This record gives sequence, C-alpha cells and structure tokens, in this order.
Amino acid sequence: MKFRLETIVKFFKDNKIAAFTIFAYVVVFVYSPNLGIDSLKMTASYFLEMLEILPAVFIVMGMVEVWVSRETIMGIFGKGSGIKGRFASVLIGSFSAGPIYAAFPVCFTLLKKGSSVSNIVIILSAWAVVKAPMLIVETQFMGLSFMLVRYIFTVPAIIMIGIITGKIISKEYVIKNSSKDGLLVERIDELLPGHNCGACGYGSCRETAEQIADGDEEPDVCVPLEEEKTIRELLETCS
Amino acid sequence: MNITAIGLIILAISLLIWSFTKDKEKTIKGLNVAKNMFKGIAVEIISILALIGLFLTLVPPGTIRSVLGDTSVIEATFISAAFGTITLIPAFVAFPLASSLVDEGAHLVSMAAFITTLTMVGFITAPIEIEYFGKKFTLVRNVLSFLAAILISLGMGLIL
Repeated sequence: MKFRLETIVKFFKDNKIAAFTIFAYVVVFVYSPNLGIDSLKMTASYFLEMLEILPAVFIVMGMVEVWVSRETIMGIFGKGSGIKGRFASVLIGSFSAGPIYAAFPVCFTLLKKGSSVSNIVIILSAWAVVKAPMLIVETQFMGLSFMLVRYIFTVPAIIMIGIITGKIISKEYVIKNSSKDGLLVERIDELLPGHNCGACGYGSCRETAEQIADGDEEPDVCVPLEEEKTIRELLETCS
Repeated sequence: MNITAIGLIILAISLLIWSFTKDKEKTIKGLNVAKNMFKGIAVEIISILALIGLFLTLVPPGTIRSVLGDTSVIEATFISAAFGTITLIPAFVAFPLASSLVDEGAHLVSMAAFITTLTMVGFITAPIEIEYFGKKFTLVRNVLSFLAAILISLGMGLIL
C-alpha cells in the first residue's frame, strides 16, 4: 500500500464517522483548545472502559464461531424456537456486559449462525435495558418500586419490538445489507494458494485476502489462483 | 472494573483455555475471526467514543437539567426521550444523573423515558448498527424502541 493523498481520501470515504469526528474536533480546538482537551480526556476514560470488555467480547464471539454449530443456535434462537427462544434471548442479553454497540457483532454472529431476526432484536434490547447487574444500581438510585415497575413493562415491550421487527424485516435482507463479515477474509484466505509468492504485490496471501474482502483488489490479482470463480461467488453472496 | 466485565473476561479466558486443549487449530481460526471483526469496527468505535466525549463536554449535565426545568410531564417525557436518543452515556452514569434530576424537580415518568431511550435507542451508534444490519433494520428497531420507551414511561406514570 502506498501512502498518498488517495489513500487518505479513501480512508475517510470508508470511515465517514471518523472523518466527521476529526472535523468536529478541529472546529472545537480552533474555538477553544481547553474544551478540546477536556473532550479528549473524557474520551480516553470511555476508551479505557471499553478496552476492559471489548477484547473479551470478540474472543467469546470467535470461539462461538468455531465451536457452536448452526443447528444448536437454530434450536435455541431460530425460527420456531417459540417462547423458550424469546426468554433465552432476554436472558442472554441481560447477562452480557457493555453498551449496545458491543452487542452488534455478537448478534450478527448469532444471526449468521441461524438465530431469527426477532430474537436478535430481543437480545439487542435486553442487552441495552435489562441489565441484571444494573438492577442493584437502579434500585439504589431510583428506588425499588421504580426498578420493578420499569422491568415489568420493559420485558414484554422488548419481546413485542422483537416480534414486530421480525415481521417487517427478513433475515435475507439483513445478511445482504451487512457489510461486516470477519469470516469472509478467512474463507478467501483458505481459497488462495497459500504459497505467499508475492506475485500480487502483497507480502502474504493473508494480506491479499484482506484486500479482496474489502473490495480493494479483484480476485484475479492472485497470479496462480485456481479458485477465482468460488471467491467471486463468495464476494457476491456477502456484499 | 465492574463485576460484569470481570465475569466476561473470566469467561473469555476459560473458553480459550478449554478450546486450546481440545483443538489448537480451531482455536487459532476462531482468534483470527475475532481479530478481523475487531479490526473492522475499531476505527468506528474510537470515533464514536470521541464524539460522545465531545458532546458531554459541550453539553454538561447541568444544561440538560435546566432544559428539563419547568415543563409539563408529557412534554418533559418527550424531551427526555429525545435527549436519551441522541446521547449515549454508560448506564452507571445515567442512574445517578436521573436521580439528581428527580431531586431537582424532574418527574419520574420522564426519567424512565430518558433511561430507556438512552440505552435502547442509539442515534450516535446508528452508523455502526447500519453497517451490521442494514438501514431498514436500524430504522425499524430504533423507531419501535423509541415508541416503546414512551409507552413504558407513561404506563409507569399510571402506576407510580
């Protein structure tokens, strides 16, 4: 990869939020450097809090990905898992750590493995609002009756939200519209010859696989490739 | 570090050890999946955290408090729900904040709306949600959650 202006422009095109954030910080720093420094300090404290849980979240997901079979997930969270699936979803959500955006990758993995859309929404919502460890904090600050009544209303509400969303959105839509697939690189890597010959200009087949998965290179960049057709089909189903 | 974080880390480590003893290759593959997913989302998470840091510095809790000063319960509920939607504060901070707002005269109903939208509806996190699940899914889920938050809090108002 050459570091030129094009590379930077492409990075910001791929990461619009990052571009917006940097822009916002530049404005604030020009206006008042002190405010900017305070914001960075606050960001750092959130970041450290995230670092406590994120690596563990991703490791658990990786292990689920290789060990838990599709059939198992489908049995627990799939279509037709019924009321048991609903409550399993509430439970798994409420015993998880971290804010809702830590739940997105986990739910995406479960979805690919066979969970239904409605149960994904229930897990997401429960993950966000029905936090078992937070019960104590909520009671402490808002009182026992506030906590109890809120939960009695919230649990049926999130199950309803899940069911309605599952009716409106099909699973095929979600899979088709998702641009996150950590497995894609793995699968492409397996299909590449694995000689690390360097004819494509990258140091290893793995790097090439990452470039192809991101859409930055075409599969035919690999000179000795035999599985071009399979890779193209893979890219098509995942994009 | 709170108890869920510790529990999660213990879970991850025990899973890893168990996995390694059973099948080394599978474990490495799983770790690669984890690494790729993490790489795919790292820039976004850092950007979002930076935005939250900026937002909370520019709009400190005191300002939120003054906005919720003297309005009717219904009005305050909608304003609180909207505030909860655009902000993203860890729940550990949200409960003390809500409780201090109640002390200063905010209604319990509006605080229930605030806490519920705060955690369940994510305006700032929507770009990440779209990346994973698509636009329509994100829109439907967030709109339904917002409506549910209003209904939950109004329902609570009838009982409390």
